[in-house]
Amino acid sequence: MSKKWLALMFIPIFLILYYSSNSGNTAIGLVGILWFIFIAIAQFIVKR
Amino acid sequence: MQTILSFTPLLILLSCLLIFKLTTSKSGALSVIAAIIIAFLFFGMDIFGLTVAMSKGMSLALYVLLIIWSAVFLYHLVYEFEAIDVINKNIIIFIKDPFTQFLLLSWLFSSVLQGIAGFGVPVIIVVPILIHLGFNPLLSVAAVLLGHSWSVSFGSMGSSFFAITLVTGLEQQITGYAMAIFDFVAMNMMGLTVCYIYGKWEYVKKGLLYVIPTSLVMISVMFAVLSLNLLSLVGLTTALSGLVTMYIIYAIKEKPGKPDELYADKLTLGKALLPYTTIVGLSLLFQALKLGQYSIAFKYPAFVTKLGYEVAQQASYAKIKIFGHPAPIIAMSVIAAIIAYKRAGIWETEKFKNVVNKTINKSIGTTISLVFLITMALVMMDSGMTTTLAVKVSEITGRFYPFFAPYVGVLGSFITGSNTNSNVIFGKFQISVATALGVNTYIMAGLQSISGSIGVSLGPTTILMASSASGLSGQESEIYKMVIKPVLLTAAIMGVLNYLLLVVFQFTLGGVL
Repeated sequence: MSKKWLALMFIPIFLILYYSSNSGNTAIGLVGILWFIFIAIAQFIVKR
Repeated sequence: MQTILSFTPLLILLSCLLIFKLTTSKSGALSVIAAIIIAFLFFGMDIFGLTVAMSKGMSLALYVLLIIWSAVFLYHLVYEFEAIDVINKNIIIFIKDPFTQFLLLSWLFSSVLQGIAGFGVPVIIVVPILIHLGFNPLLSVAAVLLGHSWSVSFGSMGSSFFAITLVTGLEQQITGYAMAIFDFVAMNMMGLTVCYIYGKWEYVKKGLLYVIPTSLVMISVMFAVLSLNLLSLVGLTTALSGLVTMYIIYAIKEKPGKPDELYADKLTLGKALLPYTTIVGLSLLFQALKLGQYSIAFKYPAFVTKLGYEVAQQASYAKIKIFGHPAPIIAMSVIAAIIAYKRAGIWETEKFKNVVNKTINKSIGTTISLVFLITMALVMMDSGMTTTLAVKVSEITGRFYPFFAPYVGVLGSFITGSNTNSNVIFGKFQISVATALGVNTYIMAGLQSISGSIGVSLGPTTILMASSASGLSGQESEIYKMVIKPVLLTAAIMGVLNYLLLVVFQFTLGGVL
C-alpha cells in the first residue's frame, strides 16, 4: 500500500467520525478513531 | 503533572523532528497518537469527545488543503506550459542594475510567487534566476529565503492566515489587521536584510531609498485590501504593489528607458499572466456580488469532558464559501488558463497529465502531515490540554510573555517547515496565554502568524529545497548560518513591539482588550 492510498483513507475516516459526532454512535466513532490510529502507525511501515 | 502531560505531544513532535530527524508526517503521526491517548486517559475525554475533536480537526484540514491542492495545481500548470518562464524573462528585461535586480527579485518577485503558490515555489524559481544572472549561489539562497519570508502568512492565497483564524476562532478581518502591524516590521527588516546580504552596510544605506517607501506603499495596500475583505488576495496584491512601486522608484532614479519589446514565446505576457488576473478579477467580482450565502459548513455538538472542560456547540464550522474560498476561484482561473493555452496552440494532454501527477506527488506528504497536526491541535484544544499549558506558561513568564511569544511562532515553523502548521500547533496556545494574561488576543494571534511567517526560512524542508535548487546540497549548515541571525533579530524586534502594544499601551483591537 502506498502513501497515496493511506491519504485517501482519510475520506471514509472523516465521514465515519462526522457521522458519529452528530449521531452519538460511539461504537462507529471508535472504529473511526482506531482506523485513524492505524493510518498514523502505517506511516512507519509504508515507504512510498 | 497535567502540565507535563499537556506538553507531551508537542515534546514528541519536537524530539522527532529535531533529534530523531523524522519526516513531518511521521512526527505528526506519533504526536497525534500521544495526544489521543493522553486526552483519553488523563483529561477525561471519552470516545464521543474524541470523535468530535478529531472530526473537527479533519474538517479544518479540508479547508486548508483545498487551498493548497488548488494552488499547487495552478503552479504546476503555468510551469509545465512555460508561462512562468515568460513572466520571469520579462522582469529581467525591465531591470538592468544588478543591486536592484537582486533586491527586486529576492524581496518582491519571490513574494509575488508566494502570494500565488508558496510551498517552496519562490525558492525553486527565483534562486536559479539569480544564479543565472551571475549572483553568488549562497547569497542568492539566503536572500530569497529571507526576502520572501514576510509574505508567507498572507501568501498561498491566504492558507496560513485562514488556518490561524480557524484554529483560534477569531474574526478574520481583525486578525488580518493585527497581522499587518507586525508584517510592516517584517517586510522592512527583510528588505534591508537582502540589501545587507548584497553589499553589507553600504548597500543597506542605498537600499533605504527603495525599502522604506516600498514598504509604506505595501502596508497601505495591505490595509486597503483587508478593509475590502478580499482576504485571500492580501498577499498577492501587497507584493504586486511593492513590485510596481520599486520599479517606479528605480525608473525615476536610474531612467533606464523603455524596453524595446516584451519577451514573448508561444505565450504573450498577457496570456502568461491570465490565471492570476482571473483570480484577482473573480475575487473582486464575487466580493462585489455578495454571494456569501452559498456555502458548505459542518456542525458539531457541545460536550463536556469528565474533568469538566466545556466545549461549545458549532453550528457552522470550517465554512467553505463557494464564491469566497480560494479553491473554487483558482479552479475557475485554471479553466481560463486551459482555454488560453488551447487557443495559443500549446495544449498537450501529456503535459496536463504531468501537471496532475506532480500535484498529487507534491501534495500527499503535505496532506498527511496537515491532517495529523491539525487533528492533534484540535484534540489538545477540546480536551483542555492547550488551556492547561497556556495557564502554566503565563504563570511562569507573567507579563513578560509577549517578549517571548515570537519565538514560539518561529519554533513552530522551524520544526514543521510551514507557517500553516505553526499556526495550527501554536495559534490556540498563544491566544490562550493572551487570555490568561488579560491582553488582546488579536494582537497575539497576529504576532504568532507573522513570526511563523519569518520562521519558515529556517524550515528544514525549505532549506533542503533551496540547497537543491542552487546546487549547494551538503552546504545546508552554511545556509543556516546566514539565515538564522536576521530571523532571530526580527523576532526580537517583534517581541518588543508586542510587549509595547499588549502590556505598555494595552492596545485594543476588535473591541476587546
